[in-house]
Amino acid sequence: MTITKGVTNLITGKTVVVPLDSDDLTQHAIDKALFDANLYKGKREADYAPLADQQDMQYWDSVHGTRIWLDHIAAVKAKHPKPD
Amino acid sequence: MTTTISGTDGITWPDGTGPSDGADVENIQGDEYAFVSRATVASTLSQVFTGLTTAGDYKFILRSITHETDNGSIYLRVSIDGGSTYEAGASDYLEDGSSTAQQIIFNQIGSTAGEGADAEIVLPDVTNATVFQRILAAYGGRTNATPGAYNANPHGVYVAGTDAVNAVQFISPSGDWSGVIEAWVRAAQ
Repeated sequence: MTITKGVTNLITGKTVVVPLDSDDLTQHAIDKALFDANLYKGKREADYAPLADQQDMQYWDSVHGTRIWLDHIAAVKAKHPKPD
Repeated sequence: MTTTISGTDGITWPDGTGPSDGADVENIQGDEYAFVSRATVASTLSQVFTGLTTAGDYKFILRSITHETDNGSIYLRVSIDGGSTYEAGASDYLEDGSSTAQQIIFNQIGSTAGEGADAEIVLPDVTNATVFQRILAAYGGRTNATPGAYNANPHGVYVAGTDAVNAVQFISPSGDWSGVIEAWVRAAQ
């Protein structure tokens, strides 16, 4: 499938959609590799409980000697592993 | 008092021509932003705007931006050669004190209409080649996971040189995206 880009000229007001050129494709390959390598971070951030809730977990873990917070963090890390 | 302009009323532009020939934009006076163009982005990797030639501030309003997959990102990069290339060196930008290869506009946006994200981005004084180009952004809308919480910085600076910026690029690092981007301009006073 052809990868495309929209180009709007603000002088003419015209927009055209064209295939990426070789420079675009080279940069896209760099962007994609970096993005894919770091995608797990965003997925983990989305699944971590809000920080206030995590602090509450840590408090009750201290009181009761449980490991709710540790298990929560471990579960998220396991769900979205860091790429090798 | 309310003034209603109907479709048959004549509107005279500063140079007496149509609304999209660019000369009108250059002739705009006053403090208000003037609408320049609207681009509908439909499943493409990037959307670029060339022809930033007016001495003044450009504003880009991104509406209902969605990605083809959850947790997508949209970056902004500037061009100093009219759009032939876009600056993407590892330290070309400074985001909240960190060197980057782009200004991150959205992280973690979703893939359905209800998750559409919005932003308003201002590039002030784009033709001024004596200052580092600033990128000011405000965000709203909903991410894939958390409403209104974007993992992105609201400001950045292009620091590779004190160059005039004459084109901008909104680009996804991975996968296509959709939405609407409006371009507005306010001439220097």
